[in-house]
Amino acid sequence: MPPPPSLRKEPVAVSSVLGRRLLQSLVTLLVSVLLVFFMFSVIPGSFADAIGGEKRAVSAEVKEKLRTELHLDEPLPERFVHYLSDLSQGDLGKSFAMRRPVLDILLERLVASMRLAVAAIGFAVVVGVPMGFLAAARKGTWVDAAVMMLAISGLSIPGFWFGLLAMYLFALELRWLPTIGYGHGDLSHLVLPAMTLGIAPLALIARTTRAAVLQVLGEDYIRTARSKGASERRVVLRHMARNAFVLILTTIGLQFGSMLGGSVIVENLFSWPGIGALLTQAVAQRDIPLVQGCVLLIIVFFLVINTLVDLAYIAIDPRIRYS
Amino acid sequence: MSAPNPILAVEHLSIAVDTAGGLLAVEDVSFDIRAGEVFGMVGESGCGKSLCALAIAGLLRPPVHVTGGAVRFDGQDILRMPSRQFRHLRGGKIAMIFQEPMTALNPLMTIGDQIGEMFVLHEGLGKAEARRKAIGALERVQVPSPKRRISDYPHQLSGGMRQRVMIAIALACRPSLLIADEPTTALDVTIQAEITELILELCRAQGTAVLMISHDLGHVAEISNRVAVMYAGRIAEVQTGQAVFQSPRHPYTSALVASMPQPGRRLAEGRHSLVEIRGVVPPLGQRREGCQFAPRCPRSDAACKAAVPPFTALQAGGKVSCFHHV
Repeated sequence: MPPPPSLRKEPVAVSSVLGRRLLQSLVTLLVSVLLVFFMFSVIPGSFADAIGGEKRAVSAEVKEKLRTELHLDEPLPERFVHYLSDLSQGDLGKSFAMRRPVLDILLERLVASMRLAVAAIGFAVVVGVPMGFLAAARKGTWVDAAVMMLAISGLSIPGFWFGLLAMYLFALELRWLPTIGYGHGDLSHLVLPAMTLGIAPLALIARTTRAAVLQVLGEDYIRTARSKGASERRVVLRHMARNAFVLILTTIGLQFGSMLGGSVIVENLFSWPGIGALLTQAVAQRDIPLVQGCVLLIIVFFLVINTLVDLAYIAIDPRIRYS
Repeated sequence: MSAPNPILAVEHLSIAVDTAGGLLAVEDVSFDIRAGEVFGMVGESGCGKSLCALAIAGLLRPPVHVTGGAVRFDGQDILRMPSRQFRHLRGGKIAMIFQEPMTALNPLMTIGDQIGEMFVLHEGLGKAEARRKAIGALERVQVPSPKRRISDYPHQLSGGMRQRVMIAIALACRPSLLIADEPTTALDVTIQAEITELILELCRAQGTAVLMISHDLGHVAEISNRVAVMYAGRIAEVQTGQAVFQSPRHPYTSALVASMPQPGRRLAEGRHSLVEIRGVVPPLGQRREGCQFAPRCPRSDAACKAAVPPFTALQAGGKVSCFHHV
């Protein structure tokens, strides 16, 4: 006898989740574009002012010519409407300073930034998760205390300070790794920046993992698993790990998602040719289209990662799949 | 008073909670369960009945642990057994059902996998074979359309259905002893009897002894061959299910029976409230010398406050721990 249809829940379609996400993302994007655009119209100085810098005076005539050329003399709302209509056609505009399409510049820089972000989150997960796990397994012992001390240090030490110390130790003293630069994309150049960018997420992930493991180990179904005669190893691998991972996944996703934006300091410190370094440069030059492009990319990256996390949840957790 | 072939013998079991002082939660508990018997254990929350159950199943976790006594299962001292060997018994020969069906199942595993795990662990079956047998197990606990339900996740089932799944898991490998720790307390009243009946019927059919733990004396007395009444970490008395209800010998048990509501009695006796036992159960950490029930007991005297009363064997079988038993 089949149960009444109302009692059986059908799985949520992935497409509907994606659709809802997309809509939310569009709103987020629109608001942030608006914010960035008007913020840059409020802060003092324009590209025309910044081009000369302090040393070289640029004549008023040249400035005026530039302003007209870059449409900086048009009213703000008009510029915004232009920008939006270009944007809707996939045109991010041209960089004032480089005189090239913003999209091309971003794509060139994206590879370096992605390598850094992936390496950093990889480092944070591969080290942070086992650390948190170890702390939970040895709860209340000196191991637990030591891991949590390290985690708090990792969270509270500023990234650039950690980077400088690491640079001093591994590059200058031990001479194991290069100090700065991208090299030719070799791994040795990636190590220090990735560690510096990953240290705070690592600490947070270690703490979250510890809490998640302890929470799940206290659940009734873990006791049930033990009552079945499962070995401790099986209890941990088959019953605890997946449930704990559900709790950690959000943290990992959020940390990864904010990495492009968080890389500004690290990329500058290590002269890493990524989006973060590009953004600082663009801001200094008041290169509005380029700043807009960088910010957009950082936001899109965050939204994409979050959507992926949502999809991962649907794959892992049946309670979400059927709710 | 040990009858032939007890499947389980608990001897002077003591359990403590590790705190600054080290609190004894269960003291000197002894009883045995015969093969195929239904043995009830009653007491208020905090009296130590669940701790006894967890100790027998080897599931106590720090800071709670056994501090003395022995638990013999089929003659073997299981508390001193190597953990690997004990693990084999647990689930296989000694199974357990818990109070909360809503949280006792793994939310990320299908119920088929959760039942099947028993066959994988104890019979060494492969996944497909285990699944096939899981369908059979689900059928035995009368879950409708088991072939489809097998792929469901716990959150798709009602509380009663989940408890049926728990029963299917516990009885999958035909254990000799089932420990049921308040298996119906969290369920709707309408399905409580159904679930109890299911447990008893399946256990009777396969010769499984049951340790039925409950806070409901009437319920346990009705379904058990024998009943142990616990109060504040100790056994007050052990009698047959019928005797414990009809002629309780410990003042605590008789007070319990007297306090059970009976339709119409209050009006007939002209009372305005239900009968109650005055005073409260001493909280763990505030227990005293002598009989724990003494402060609330109408029969208590100086002797009760000085020493714990030893057990007196009753003529009709059973035992009672009271200087002035009824």
